[in-house]
Amino acid sequence: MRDVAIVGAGMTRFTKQAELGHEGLAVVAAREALADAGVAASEVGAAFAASMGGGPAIGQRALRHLGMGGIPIVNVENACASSSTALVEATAWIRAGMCDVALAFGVEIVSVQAGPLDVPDTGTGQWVFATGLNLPAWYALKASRHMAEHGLTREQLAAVAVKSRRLAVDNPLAHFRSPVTAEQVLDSVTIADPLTLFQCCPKTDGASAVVVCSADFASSRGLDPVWLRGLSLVSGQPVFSDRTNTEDATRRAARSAYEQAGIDPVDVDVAECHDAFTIGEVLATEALGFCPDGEGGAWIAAGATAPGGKGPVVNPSGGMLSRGHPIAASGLAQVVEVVTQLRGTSGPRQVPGARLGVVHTMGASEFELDANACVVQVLEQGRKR
Amino acid sequence: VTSYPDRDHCPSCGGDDVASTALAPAGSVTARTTVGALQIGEVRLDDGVLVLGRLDMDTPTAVGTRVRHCPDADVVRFVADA
Repeated sequence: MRDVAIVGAGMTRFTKQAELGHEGLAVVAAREALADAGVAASEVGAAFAASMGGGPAIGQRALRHLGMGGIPIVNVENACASSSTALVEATAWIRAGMCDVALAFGVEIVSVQAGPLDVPDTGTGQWVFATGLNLPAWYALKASRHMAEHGLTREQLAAVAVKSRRLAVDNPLAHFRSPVTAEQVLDSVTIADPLTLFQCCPKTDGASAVVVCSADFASSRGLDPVWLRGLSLVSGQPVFSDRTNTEDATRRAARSAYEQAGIDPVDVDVAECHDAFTIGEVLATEALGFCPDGEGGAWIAAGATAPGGKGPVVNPSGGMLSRGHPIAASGLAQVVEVVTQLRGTSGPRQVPGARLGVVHTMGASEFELDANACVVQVLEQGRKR
Repeated sequence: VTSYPDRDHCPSCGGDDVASTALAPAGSVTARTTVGALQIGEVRLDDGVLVLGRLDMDTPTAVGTRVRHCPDADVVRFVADA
């Protein structure tokens, strides 16, 4: 199988900027990724575009502004994992020899929506949402279950938000860049008990992009890329009478990605995981194997996943909680952060000596499935194997 | 497979050899949250099936609380099992 390298990464600032439009945001990120790679638009053999709200053919509409036409352009939607899935597709095309260089981007505008995100018509699932359940409440139920089964505390959940905000102070592209205290987190308005406002991601607009290529192309340019060592996309499996196993998708994807890369979780230096709500980071920290099951809250509260902790640094960008979560742009924003960390160019938030990174993106939770989609990637800085 | 709600095809294999069956009318709360004035919970019925629904109780319901299904409600509702 052909090795695949990430040679370019770029993203817009994540903030409220709906006036720029989907195409405008996507162009900024794509242009930055191409410039970062030193690759001309004319050298890209295929492009993969991700958006949930950008409308039909967002890839073609955005990339025409860069003079990119005539090549295969694939539009991808996989909920919050949309742009991670776009990268999976780009990688598959390169591995198959269908192109040598591919561009993947994600773009989303969320800030214009009032109230909780709309729940789409999910057919038989409508009876669930008729009860008043929304996305924060869906995650709140996970938190409630974890509290009952493992003793997770409200203070431990608050610690996730405190860490996130503290790290985002040093990320100039983050939506929120001011620190908060645990008291401020716990005293912020309750959205879905036990989750308070500061434990929920903001409504953010933005775009992110990467350029990937074959090992031969990287070598011909003398590039020193970040390598995709493991990459797994899974969908949720039906669960009917026992929905407590909701992190199964992450476990399956991580197992596969780690196996491809030949690594163990203890080898990981840095990770970006899906933390749209604080409980998400707790559950991902466990399911990715960074700590024993049931101990994610205590692990994070003790600083194990903060800089200088005994585990990998998790969400050094501030994660979705602070960097922001423009849905289809989030997955590649996570990749941009890990690539920057592995290059050693993250400035004040740099994880010293980071060589191995993990990216984890969930494609939401869905009624009767343990997830829509889940992507786990293992990235490594270093020479071609 | 026993699941809620009933449907025309088996959600496990897609087959159409399905039949309706009465579920246990009571169970225990396994997770709960409050959204605005609404209390929503996940209830494991006594026959093992998990159902989400509103918890119609004045005070926050603790996990483990016994509840009973309200059969004629407009949405899935549970009240305290006296």
